[in-house]
Parts: sequence; C-alpha cells; structure tokens
Amino acid sequence: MAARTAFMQGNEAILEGALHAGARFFAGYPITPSSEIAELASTRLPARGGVYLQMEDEMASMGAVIGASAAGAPAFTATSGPGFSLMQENLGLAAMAEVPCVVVNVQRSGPSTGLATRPGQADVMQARWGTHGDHPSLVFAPASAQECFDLTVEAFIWAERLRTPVIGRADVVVGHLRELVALPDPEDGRALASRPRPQGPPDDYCTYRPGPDGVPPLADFGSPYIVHLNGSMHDERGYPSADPAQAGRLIQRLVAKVQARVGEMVAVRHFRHDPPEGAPPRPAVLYVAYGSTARAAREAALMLAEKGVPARLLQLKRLWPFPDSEVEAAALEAGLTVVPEMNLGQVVLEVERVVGKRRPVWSCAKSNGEPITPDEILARTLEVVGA
Amino acid sequence: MEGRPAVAKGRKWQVILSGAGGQGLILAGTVLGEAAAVYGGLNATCSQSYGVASRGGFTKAEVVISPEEIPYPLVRRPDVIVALTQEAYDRQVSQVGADCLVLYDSEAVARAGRTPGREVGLPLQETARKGGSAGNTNLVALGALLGVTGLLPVECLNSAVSARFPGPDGESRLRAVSDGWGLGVEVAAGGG
Repeated sequence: MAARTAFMQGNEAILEGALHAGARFFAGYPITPSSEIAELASTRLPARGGVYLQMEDEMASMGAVIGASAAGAPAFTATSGPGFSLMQENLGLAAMAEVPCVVVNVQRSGPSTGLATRPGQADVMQARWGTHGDHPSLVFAPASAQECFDLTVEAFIWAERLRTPVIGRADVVVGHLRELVALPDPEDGRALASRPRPQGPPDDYCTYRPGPDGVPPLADFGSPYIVHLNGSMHDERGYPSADPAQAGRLIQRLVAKVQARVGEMVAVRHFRHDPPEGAPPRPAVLYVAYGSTARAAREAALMLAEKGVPARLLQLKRLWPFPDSEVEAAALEAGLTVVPEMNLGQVVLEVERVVGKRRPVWSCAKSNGEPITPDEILARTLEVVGA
Repeated sequence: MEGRPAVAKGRKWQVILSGAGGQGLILAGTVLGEAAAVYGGLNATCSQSYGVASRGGFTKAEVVISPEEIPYPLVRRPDVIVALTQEAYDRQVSQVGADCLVLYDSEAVARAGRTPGREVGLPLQETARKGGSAGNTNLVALGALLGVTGLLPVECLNSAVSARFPGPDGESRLRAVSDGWGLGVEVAAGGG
C-alpha cells in the first residue's frame, strides 16, 4: 500500500528508492543527466544523519563509496557515461574485495563527452565487462519513474545481501521523465537492505570465509572484528595468495553467489497485445527491450496488433545476469524477435546467443542521441515481417 | 481527493511547451503534469529536452495527459505547441500537423502564421509583466493553454500551483494563471 504518491522525476525516484532502502552515504561528482540525484542527496542524506560527499572526480567517488560501505553504511553514487568509465577500476575492487555498493549510471549518448544531454543505451556491455577480469555483474534497468524507485530498492537489497556492487542503469529519458510514483511507508523499508554480519567471536572471524550461500559475512571497519579487504587474489583471511586452486575457487564463488540467486530477483515484465477478434491467425512478433526503449516498443506493439499481427513485449528489468530462460521461452513462442535499442546492437547479441538459429532475431538499432520512436520500431518490424 | 474537480474522461493530449532556457518551461511542464496526475486523476508524463547550455538556449518540455495508461511517454504528434520565443516557433514549424494548435507569445514571435493549423497569438509576457513579474510568463501560458483548449479544469492547475508555491508569492502566481486563463477563455468564446 502506497503511503503517498508524488509526481516526480526518475532521478528523484532513484534517490527516494535509495533512502527507502536505507542508504546512508553518497559520494559523487555531479554529471548530466544524473545531477539531480547528487543534488537531492546533498540535502536529504544529511537531514537524516547520513553523509553526502562531493569528491574531486569519479575515481575518488567510487573509492569513498567503498570506504563508507566497509565502515558499515549502505553507500551509493550516481554518474553518467564519462564518470562511469572512470569508476571501472574501483568497481572491480568492490567486486573482488566484496564490498556492497550501488552505482547508478544515467546513460547519455557517447562515447567520450558525446551528447551530454541526449539519450543513449550504449553502456550495456560496459556495465557487464567494463572492469577487467572475470567478475559478477548485477544490473537493473528501469523504464519508468516508478521502476526507478522499485529497482533502486532492489539494487540495494542485492548489493548488501550478496556483498557485491550493483549497477542501476537508467537513461536520460527515464531519468528526466516525471510521472506519478507510489512511495511506500518508510517503515516498510527498514532493514530491507541488510548485509550478513559475523556472529561469532572476533578471533575466529575471516573476512572471506563464505556462509552456506557463498557470501562471507562482512564486519564493519572499526568493530571488534579484524577486516582484511583485499583486491589482490586472497585466501579466506584476506591475505594475498597466488595459489591457483585458491584463485579458481574465489573467482568461481564471486560469480556463483550472484548466479545462484537470480531466481529470486526481478527479471522481466511481459506484455501481450492481440489483434482485434476475427483477424486471421499469424505468428507473433516479440520485442525484447529495456529502459525507455521498452516504452516505445510497447506503443509499437499496440500499433502492430491493430494491424493484425499479435505482438509481445518482453521488458528486461534486469540486464545482467542476462535473463536467458525468460528470453528463450518468449522468443520460441513467437515467430520472430525484434530488439530495439539506442546503440548499434548490444542486447541483440545476447538474444541471438540465447535463441540461436531456432527463430529469426532482428536488430532495430539507433545511435544518434535521439530516442527511438514507436513509429521507427513499427517500420522496422513491418520491414522484417514483410507486411 | 476532496474537492477534486470533475475531469472529463476525454481524449489524450500531447503538449509541447517551448521557449528559451530560464523561462521556466520545464517547471511549467511539471506543474501541468502534476495538475493532471495529482489533482485531475489522469495519467500524465512530463519529459524535458535541452541543450548543454541551458540558459537562453532552446528548451522544451513535453507533456502527455491521458485517461489511459501512457506507454510511450514522449510526444509523437503534438496536439498543442506553446512557443514563447521565435526560435521555438521556427524550430518546430516543420513538425506541426494541420490538427495541431500553436499558441504563441505575440510579442516574442513576430513571424508567425506559417503552420498549416490553427494559431493563436496572445500577449503572454505582457500580461505577466502587468501582473507584476515577467517571470510568471510560464504560468500565464499554462492558464491560457487551459482556457483555449479546456484540456483540464483550471482548478486542477490552481491546486498544483498552490501546492508548489506555498510562500508569499503564491498569490501572484495564481493571478498569473488566472490572467492567462482569462485570455484563453476569451479566445475560445470568440472562436479564436
């Protein structure tokens, strides 16, 4: 039950979601189109006893976030393309040292400074592989102001529960979109995002001895427990180790602890739009889309159904780990799949991997700083179905 | 909500509020969306578009209001364009269909009459100045928009303005809405 509703921007809803989930620390370097998150954090966090730090750049921001989280505070930052690039090194540290944190990337058009105020979705693979080495990746992509709130809460829950960085990946259209958002009672957010903490005597504590779910309890810096956070390959105590067996186990565990829980996480949303009754039966067209593009695809699906073609939309709320089974099931039910996205074709590669040669998969790509429109998606669809 | 004015469960409206950075267009779009969604019980989205140099540069807010859910939140084919500068008018001339109303500030837009549909020029800035502040041109424009089109009861807009500006200047802002609405209603009554 919503305690109140408000007409608010996606970026504002991201901040509200972070506060609801219990965030207590923000460090960042404001950048268009994510700046509203930092601006609001600068007043809202201190007002509730939290901390807002404006850092000298994004590398330092990510370092501060990791430090605050290690001290026990649910911590986050918000940025866009150029800043997200600078955060990659410390994002890897957070993954390897297993420090929970949330990084919001409100994507703009790139590369480099690109088009600072214009939308893009070209950071999909960066969010997966931007930091070097094998590592876990957990990424959520909202398509509405409400989802900005909901998925930020989700991001904090999993970051803390799994001791891992989580990326919230909006785009300009969604970040700056104002819509009605239902905000739950703040009491409901209590202890939503909580990390496993050690229970036993401090002398027995090992920073990296995993629990049954593969996640090692994390003691706060400054507590009676001795914490060794380490970005080098390490043993269970956190001491450096070059033992190949040890290294292999650690990498496997980092990835497996996330993979094992995907069934409990938000993944997709289904939409079905059928032609008016009496239309001759035809194979359905499936759209796989995410972020603001999912909204354009939904409108295209409605128009397509009106033209007599059954249309389905699988909106990806979670991009990584990629929702393989959901995509596979939806794609095999349809005659063909179209993947609209504001880049030259990134998620389409994943859809092709999952579907293989069993059904045709078409890209509907646009990368010029302009949002992809329903009419463009419809035109591309009619082209590939030969209607 | 108590005292909520009855809103005709009518059609979908796609509105563009355009002008220059600093004229409060994104604020106007937000207030209009709020008026529809919070006080009118309708669905509404408001999105914004601006360049890297906000102040003085071309800026627009896009507002979609509908009794139905709004899948695509941006404006595809505008029903109304409000233009507060010549640049805003010029930039959008080519996208305007015959069924789109263009409502422009008659002082700022000297070269009008170039779109295929209905155009209404009103002294929006002048009205705001006479009311005490040219800074309220955005609210005069919103009032006029509602007066001309009837897309939302003006009471919804008043509620949104009162809620957003609870301070001492709230009065002058409500007056700006009311003055603009008066201008618009006059046009609507006269067939414009």
